[in-house]
Amino acid sequence: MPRRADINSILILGAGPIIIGQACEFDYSGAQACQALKEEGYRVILVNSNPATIMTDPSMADATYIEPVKWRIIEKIIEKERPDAILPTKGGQTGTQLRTRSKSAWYFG
Amino acid sequence: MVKQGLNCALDLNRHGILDKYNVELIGASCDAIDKAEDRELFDNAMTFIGLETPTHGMAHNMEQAHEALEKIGFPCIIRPSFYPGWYRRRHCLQQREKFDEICARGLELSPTTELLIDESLIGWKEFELEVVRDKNDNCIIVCSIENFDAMGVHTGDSITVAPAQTLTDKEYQILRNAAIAVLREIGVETGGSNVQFAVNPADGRLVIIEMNPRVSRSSALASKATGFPIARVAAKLAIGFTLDELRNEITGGVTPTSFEPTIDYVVTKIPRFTFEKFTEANDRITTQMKSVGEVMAIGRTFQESMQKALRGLEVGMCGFDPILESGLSNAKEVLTRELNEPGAQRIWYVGDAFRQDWSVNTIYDLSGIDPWFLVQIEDIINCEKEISQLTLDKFEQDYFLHLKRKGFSDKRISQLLAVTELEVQQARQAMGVRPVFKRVDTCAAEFVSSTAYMYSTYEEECEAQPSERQKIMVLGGGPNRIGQGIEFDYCCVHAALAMREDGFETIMVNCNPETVSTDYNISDRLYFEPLTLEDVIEIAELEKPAGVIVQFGGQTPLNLVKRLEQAGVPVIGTPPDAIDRAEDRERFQQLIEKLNLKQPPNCIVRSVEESIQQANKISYPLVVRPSYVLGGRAMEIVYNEEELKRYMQESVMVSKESPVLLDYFLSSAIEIDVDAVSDGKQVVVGAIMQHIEQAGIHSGDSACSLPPYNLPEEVQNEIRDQVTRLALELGVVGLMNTQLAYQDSEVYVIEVNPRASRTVPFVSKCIGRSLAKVAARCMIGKTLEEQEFTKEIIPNTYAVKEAVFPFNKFPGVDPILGPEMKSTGEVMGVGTTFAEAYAKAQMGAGDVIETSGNAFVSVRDRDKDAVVEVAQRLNSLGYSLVATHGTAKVIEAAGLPVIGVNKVLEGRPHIVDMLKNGEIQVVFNTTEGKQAIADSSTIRRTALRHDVYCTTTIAGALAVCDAVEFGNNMSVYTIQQLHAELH
Repeated sequence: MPRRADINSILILGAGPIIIGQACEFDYSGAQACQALKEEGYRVILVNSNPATIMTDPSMADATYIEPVKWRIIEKIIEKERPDAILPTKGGQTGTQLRTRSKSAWYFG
Repeated sequence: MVKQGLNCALDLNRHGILDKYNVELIGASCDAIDKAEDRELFDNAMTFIGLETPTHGMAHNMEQAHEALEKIGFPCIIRPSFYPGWYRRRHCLQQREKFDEICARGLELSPTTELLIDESLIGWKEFELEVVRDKNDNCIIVCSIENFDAMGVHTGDSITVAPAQTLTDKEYQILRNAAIAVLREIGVETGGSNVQFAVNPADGRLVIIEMNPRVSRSSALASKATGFPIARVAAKLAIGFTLDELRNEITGGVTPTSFEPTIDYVVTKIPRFTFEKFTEANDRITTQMKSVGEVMAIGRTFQESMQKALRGLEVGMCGFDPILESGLSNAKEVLTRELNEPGAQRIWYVGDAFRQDWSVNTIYDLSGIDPWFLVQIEDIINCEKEISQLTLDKFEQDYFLHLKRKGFSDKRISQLLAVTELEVQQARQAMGVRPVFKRVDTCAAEFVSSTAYMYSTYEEECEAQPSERQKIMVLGGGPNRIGQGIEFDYCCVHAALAMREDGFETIMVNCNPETVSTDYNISDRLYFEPLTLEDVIEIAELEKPAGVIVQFGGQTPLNLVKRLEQAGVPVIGTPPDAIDRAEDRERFQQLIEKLNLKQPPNCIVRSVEESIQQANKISYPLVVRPSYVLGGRAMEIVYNEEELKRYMQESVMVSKESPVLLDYFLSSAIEIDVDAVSDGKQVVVGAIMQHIEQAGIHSGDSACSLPPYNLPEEVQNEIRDQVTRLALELGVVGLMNTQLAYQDSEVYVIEVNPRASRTVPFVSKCIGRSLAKVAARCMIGKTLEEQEFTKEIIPNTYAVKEAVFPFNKFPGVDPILGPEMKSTGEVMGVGTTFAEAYAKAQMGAGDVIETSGNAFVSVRDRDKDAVVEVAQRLNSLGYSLVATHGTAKVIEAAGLPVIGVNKVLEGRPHIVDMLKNGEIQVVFNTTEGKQAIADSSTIRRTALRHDVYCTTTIAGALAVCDAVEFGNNMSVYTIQQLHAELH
């Protein structure tokens, strides 16, 4: 079976900052994923807020957003880029606790 | 706990965004994620396929607690739900006596009056399997991993070994079948997953602990341990390929990826901790992960890989060094505790227990470490005893080989013989005892591998086959730690890429399995080896590189520079003497004077008396620190003689050999970081970054703005001039980072580091040129002119870098910032204004700022003037002001409405009560001096625990006002587009 022809562009979600329990291993795997998809001819769109990563180097994706990995921001990126698919499994685990939410919160964690 | 990537995808799904824009989730389905994450769904799924999970129950009252106990039995673990300090309030119970009491207390502590009661698996053996599955249901096990530390220690904090060492083939096959069944049942259609098992050593009972339907820390380790690129393959499977269709690159495509990796060596991973940074934290390792990095080592035997890992960890150990003080009267108690309640150094205490002739059984009973591992360590300690009774001239070739095969370093042998490392090295080499290099190839040498991914061992056949090409070798940074993280790895990777682009053969040496630099694709040849003198010299002598780059890996390779040069290894770039000139206090002072620059008044002292004398000359406040440290360890600000005395007596052991530095503290300065690059003749500034927090906060912990957001242009020009002169005078060839301070119209030079800094990747992303690549090319003799990098690039947008802290992992630690670095990572926010960039940086860092409600303000005397502006802005943003009485007076005097509240010491109701009751939405708290900091720490700790945004500087408070004012209306930018606008 060749690669899927019904999708052309893929959005990859990165892991954000290095914290305890989520170190740079997600940069390593994310960078591999970007390269693997790019060489198959897909348009790769990447979001990651961590500038110290190799995956956010401009050559790694076709469009690189160094922006917060939060759904409200991702929505804006989806609206702009219109990807066909999202690959979320390179994002890892953040150690932050679930934030308590209130109506007046300016944005959600 | 949330999973950022996955959680974000679930959020998008929940808010209907995936449907709205018709975006498909690939590589995982929402159902599979839910099934793996939700405990009940997971339990049901496992029961369905006949596998067990740990029994557990939930209780909202004592009756339910007793019911749960009936089902679970003893020993069990009790913890309150949603209680932030739960990991300290876990109780492992052996009998009934205390059950009621602890349950009652737990119910009280939990905000939802809920208890979780689990079957205790403490002491069980722990295994992990890395599985990859494709859409045709082909499954392979990439690697099995065994935890050296038994259950009860988080797998991220455990020493782990691959492949599993203590399973029989039959047991392994059972785990294998179970892991594959789990993937099928959870519904991971394509990609990699990690399945964790616990096995009861008493009766062999097997339970599934969890599974992660995604790449994880363990899969990165498994990739590096086997050479099988899990993430790469998983990405290809997600777009429709199957395992048999893909070729495994590492064998040059000889094998398909459906060929299950086989390994003919042993891999050991040891975590690295930083408890010395968080002295108030509980330093025992538990089910809450606390390590900040890890080292991996490869050897032909468990003993060899373990001893290589120990020396690669860079904690001052070169093997099983003794750690127990000799002649300790309570040695037995200390050992018992260290073995039973593990801390960061348990592995060395195990060695010490054997030195004290403790038996394998005793150590096993206390530690739960499998006897097979213990016997291996016992044998190493017995060897040590034997060595220490010999002299070097009695060593014969066979004996040397015998020791090296067990992984003994030259240094450890030299310690045991009481000779120098060099003597051992020379004796060894004279006998022709040299390492050979084997390849990591996924197929145990069944096929010839074209990939040069290597490790050393002491055997006959060397598979290295060095070429005759011109080579550049890059020394990496070793395990991540606070102060030396991924930023340095980024620089190493870029150096290797640049050298490859320029036609050199590139050689990478590193031992950190988490990083990109240890991906075998990044360099032509990868040596997965500890960064010690012995290991690096052996590689250099085999490969004979034309140049070795040491300035990108942080302090690790720099520590080796002098001795590498003595050994004739060609170090390129800035001469090591320039590093010494910048680091040596007195030489640096001469440099500053020669260039007619300014630094804060300072001196070096070697005794307590001298420090008091000198302090009076310089005057307070002072920054005090031991000489030669990275990351600001043990650095403090003292405001008077009493604090200075305490510091000199308690915090550091001052002596002739380890002097202490005193610097006048520029308390209201703006701090500036500059990264520059030089070819030796010309200097180009990479960027000037203005710190947002004022002086006194470690540069790695401070947020910074590029370009500066309110630093006058003429000051920036003065800084450019000073940095240029410094780089030329030092003879920098490559990168240089300078930290400066601006106060009362004067620019002061605080620190110069002629090497890569942690801001290099951030700067490179902002200006669209890789500074590390430019610097590497300077080192091989290319001028900046030739590289067309002759002018500073100043972006017309703002970028803010914000630090991210691990405080929530260390309950009880005061989350105040100071001169000692505490952050583990960073995020960047980009915007057309400073406010937008800062707002995004806060958001990326995971901080939620409530935009209405009560703002609590309490500031030190020195900030009483500045607090008025903060109060005015908060007021006009619609917050109600709450302040401690002193601060309230100032705010009131400025004509603003404010409610006064007691400090904790002033009696209840006080500010901490308000925080606990949810009556405070943001905290602005500045403080200084040891006592005042201690008095106010409960405020900050409570804010942290209740997720209330807290900032501890005035400058930070003003920036937060900017961000809140800006609001939520952010735009998104690609860096490709931002860079296009710059060039």
